[in-house]
Amino acid sequence: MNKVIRDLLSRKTFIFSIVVILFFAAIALLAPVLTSYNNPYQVSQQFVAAPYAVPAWATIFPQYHDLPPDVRLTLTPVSASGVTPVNSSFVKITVPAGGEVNVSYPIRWNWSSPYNVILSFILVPPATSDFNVNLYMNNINIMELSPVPIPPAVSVTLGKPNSITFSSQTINPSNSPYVNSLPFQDQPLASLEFPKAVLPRPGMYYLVISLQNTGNSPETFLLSNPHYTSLGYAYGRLGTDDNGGSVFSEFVYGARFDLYLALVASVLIIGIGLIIGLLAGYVGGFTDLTLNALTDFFLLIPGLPLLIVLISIFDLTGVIVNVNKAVLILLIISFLSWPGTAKIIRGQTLSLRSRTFVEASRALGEGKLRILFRHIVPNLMGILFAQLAYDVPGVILAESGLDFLGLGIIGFPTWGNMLGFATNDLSFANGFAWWWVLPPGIGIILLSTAFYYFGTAMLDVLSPYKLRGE
Amino acid sequence: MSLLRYLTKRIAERIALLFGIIIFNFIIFQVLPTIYGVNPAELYVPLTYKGLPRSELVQALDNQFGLNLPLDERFFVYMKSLLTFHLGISMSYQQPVISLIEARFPVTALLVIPSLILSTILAIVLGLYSISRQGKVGDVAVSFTSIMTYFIPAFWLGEIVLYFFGFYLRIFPTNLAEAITSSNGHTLVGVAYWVDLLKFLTLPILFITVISYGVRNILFRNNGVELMGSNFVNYLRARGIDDRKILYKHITRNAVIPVVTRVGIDIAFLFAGVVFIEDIFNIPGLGRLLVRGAENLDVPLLGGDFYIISLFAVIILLALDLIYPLIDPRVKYE
Repeated sequence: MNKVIRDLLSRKTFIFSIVVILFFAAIALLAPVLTSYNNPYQVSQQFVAAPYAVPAWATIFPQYHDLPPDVRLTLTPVSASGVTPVNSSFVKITVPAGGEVNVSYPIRWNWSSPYNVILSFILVPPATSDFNVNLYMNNINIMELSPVPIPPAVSVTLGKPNSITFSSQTINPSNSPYVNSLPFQDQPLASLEFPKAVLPRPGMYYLVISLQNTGNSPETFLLSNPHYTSLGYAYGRLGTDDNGGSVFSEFVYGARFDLYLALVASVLIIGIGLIIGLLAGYVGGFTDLTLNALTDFFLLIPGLPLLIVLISIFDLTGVIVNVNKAVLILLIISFLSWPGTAKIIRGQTLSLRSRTFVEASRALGEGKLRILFRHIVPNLMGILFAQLAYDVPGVILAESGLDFLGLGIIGFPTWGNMLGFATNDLSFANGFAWWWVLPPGIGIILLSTAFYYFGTAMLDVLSPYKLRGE
Repeated sequence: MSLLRYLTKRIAERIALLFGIIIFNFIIFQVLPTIYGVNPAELYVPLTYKGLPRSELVQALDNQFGLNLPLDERFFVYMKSLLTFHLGISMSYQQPVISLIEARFPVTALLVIPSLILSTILAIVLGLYSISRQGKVGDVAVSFTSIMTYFIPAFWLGEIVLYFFGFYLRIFPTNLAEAITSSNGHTLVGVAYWVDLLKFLTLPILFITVISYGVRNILFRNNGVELMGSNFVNYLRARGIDDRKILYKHITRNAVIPVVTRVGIDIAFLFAGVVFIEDIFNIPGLGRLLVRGAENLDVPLLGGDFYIISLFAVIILLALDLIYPLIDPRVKYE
């Protein structure tokens, strides 16, 4: 055993394959630790950042340099007369009769404009109705709060805490003076234009809450420090997709699913191939003839079209009403992929059967089953391992292809689904979304090549006889 | 005599295979729905057609094609219809399946045959390079790249290539309809038509070439490397024949035989292999027809297309069996 390991470790390709396989296995196993989104195709897990956000590390490149990350801030006011802090999060503002007090909140903005702007705070207005509250950002009137709501003003309840939320994504002519100030034809695009208007470029900006007292006596307002939130165009390790879902989560969970499916399918393929190959090779005669014909038949049917036909017809006739689609794909792929393995095992069994040691044990009176399991199967171990490894890339490619065509798994991220959706959405506008298109493809190639080299190394090292070819 | 036996054996085998494929088709498209309680006729009718309700259409189909007959009688009706190429009428295209296939067959052929030739040449040229520099950096790099091409998902790289060369660099047209119409909207004719069509097909053809040469290259290289150490090469060398001549004349001739076999097999699975590429480059060929059939759950189209693809494979394999003795005289007619 020691010699086997030393032999394996002396191969560069084996080291490469082990490193790659372990990397993806680690990703697959640690998926829940690595990312907090387990299915970014669910609506609740979308919009973790702007759609088509680049990876955070990509901001080292000049063209992405200014893109903002997700920003969450609690704004604190500049001290001014009439503004007295109550505690760490509330300020009390006394506005003289007929007067106006502006509370300014500075925002240090280091990036280009974000995807959206959300402001939320709690306002406790006085009990009388003689007041008006205006929100300004970058000197643009973005919101108006009034006890008498005449659009675009928004109503507030008197004397009670109101939690006010301003979201650039829901603005329209009836809730924001900003939209009204736009030319009519631009109003439907207001939510897209808004971030560019209020945070156009890096710099210092002010959110101003202007409190007006139109009554005859001084009034007191309570105001919490506003929370500022915006989704950015630079997010996480691998950015986001067209729905703002985390590509990294998709990649990790895709790897998890693909590896799992590929390994289970390969084991199934090996199982079927081993049984049929052993039967054909060892029993011989009529069994061999029939099984060989069957193998040839499946080998000669064009695989991909058959896969497509089977999936569709099963879909159509309702065979899969009670069966998970992933299980169905697993079974069909294994059902269509065993012939190659079976042929190789049959050939090998045939050659082993006529070797002297098998003949010797037969002469010693050993039973057929005992010869099969004590002498032939152990000698097939190298081939079995190699086939296991060779089958993995085939399964991954077949499954990804189906997903890519939209005939496979639905509603769950797999590498094939990622590629399908990503390539559908490629355009100049999102810079061809390289952070979304490249990882699954590179993942498939790396993993497949690694399994191929792993299989080759296993075949070379574990086969007691020099077996060449596949 | 032995040749005759060989031929009859091969032909019998292939006919048995064809029979198997028909049975397989029958099981998938007729037996399976029946087992799961679906009348196969229902899979062949659209929801409404010319204002007639679905049930009437189903009954009409039942009468016409005997789809409500018991399975054993239906099998012969089905086999007869396949053998006479009565493949039904596509639901999504509302045209006979066979005419759809006829229209798309040349498209796929135009796409696949040039790429087959090009990739074989590429495989042999790179293989010769590898053999002459066996074990050196160049050989390792070429072999590694070839193995990589097995595993590159065609649909992924194809999309990237299409966007890079088609949309970004604008070297190749990306839309078939645009490529073959003139700027005022008329279809081009004559030489201009063919030039523009070829301009459009260049990118997919080159892409298929690059993605499919790997298997042949590895076959050729491994064979050549093996031959390099064989006795007859040593003998030639001892006779003082130039290394280059040995390589180009003797080794190439012997090492190319498995490549030819492989090309034959590739021709057989020609139309099966380019499903993704047709889908990506939006080429209306047989593979795309199949995908469209699957997307629209168009059973007659799926069944017909699948049958034709398999039939083509069987015919080519048979032809390959027959001409193989001419390529490699060492093969014995067993």
